[in-house]
Amino acid sequence: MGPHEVLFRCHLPLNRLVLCSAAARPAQLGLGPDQRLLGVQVLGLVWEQDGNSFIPGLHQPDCGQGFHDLEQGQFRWTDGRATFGPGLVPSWQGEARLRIQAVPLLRAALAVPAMPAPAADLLRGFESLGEDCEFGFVQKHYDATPPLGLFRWASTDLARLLEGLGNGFAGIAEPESLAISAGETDWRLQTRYARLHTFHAQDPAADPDWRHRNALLLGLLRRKLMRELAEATRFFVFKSATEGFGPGEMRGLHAAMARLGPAPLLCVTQGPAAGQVERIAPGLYHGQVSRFVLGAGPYEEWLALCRKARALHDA
Amino acid sequence: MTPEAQDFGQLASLLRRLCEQPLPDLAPDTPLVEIDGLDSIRLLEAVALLEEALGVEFPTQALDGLETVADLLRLMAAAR
Repeated sequence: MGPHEVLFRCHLPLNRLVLCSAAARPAQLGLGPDQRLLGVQVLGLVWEQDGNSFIPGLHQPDCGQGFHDLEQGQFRWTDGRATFGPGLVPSWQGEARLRIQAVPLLRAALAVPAMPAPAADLLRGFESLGEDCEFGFVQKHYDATPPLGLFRWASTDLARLLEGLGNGFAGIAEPESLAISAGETDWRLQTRYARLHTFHAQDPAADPDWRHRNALLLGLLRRKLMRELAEATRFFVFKSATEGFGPGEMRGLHAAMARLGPAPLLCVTQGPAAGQVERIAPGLYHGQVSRFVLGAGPYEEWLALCRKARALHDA
Repeated sequence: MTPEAQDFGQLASLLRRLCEQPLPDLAPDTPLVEIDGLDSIRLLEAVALLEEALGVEFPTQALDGLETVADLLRLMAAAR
């Protein structure tokens, strides 16, 4: 357990689960202007049972009575007597373990809490595999700027991604296979496996050397991706808004990756369990966001998914 | 001319061409993010063109730590 984790054993289902602690108002203790009644600063919850994990999202609105609003997209204070809402408790039966990462008021006031890793540091460890550049916007929003990846600013689909993983993206760096087309904001580079932003406002094809230059770039990106897959130096993210993309497709994608190396995969779909992550198989995770809005969030949900997937994978 | 000076000249010329800028203040300690026109795509284009010019393949893990012009020069020196 971490330095600020408390472990409970529970028998599910529970009629009621209340997190009780001492509480005080910081203003009355001379710890600042905050007049709220504060108990503990809850940073994360992890339920475990028979090798399965459930990490509920603290950003969900129905955390329960006694939880204050989410702060910094990361934690909630209790008021000293917080009742867990239904979304914080798994629908399991039998013995389960609940790990609560929480910091008491005085320790938090002394600025020594075990805060989660900064968002940018966390997100630099992730890399998009498609199906569009939405996750690239998430990384950009949090100022997480890892080196470019083949799919960071690209769109693809599951079939083409599977083909590429199966053949090592063969032929992607062949100059004659490349095409340039106009996009809404910039010119796009069409390859056999994906369509990439160039961020060129002027037609790159005006440069007689464009095929050669882009082929070199694609060859480098291909080599980089294959190494990251082989050495599992990144946590890969595949977002899909495609109807019918479910656990079977997720397993298929993960199996294709696994033939190249042990890198973990987080698949993200739109759904009602926004901010929550479930483990589909070892190294394969499924998270949901409330909506897909390319380039406009919901960033806190994406960040929560990455935190939880990372925590589940590292557990 | 020393090999280091040759590398710097080659790199500076390449960056000026890619960025379509004169880049008059380019120096080894120049942060790459402060070079006008050198976004993440252009930076990797530069790396790919350097690989071709030198006839080598840089280790891709080295790309994770590229922060200054000197980092690119170190890649070139290591490949010599």
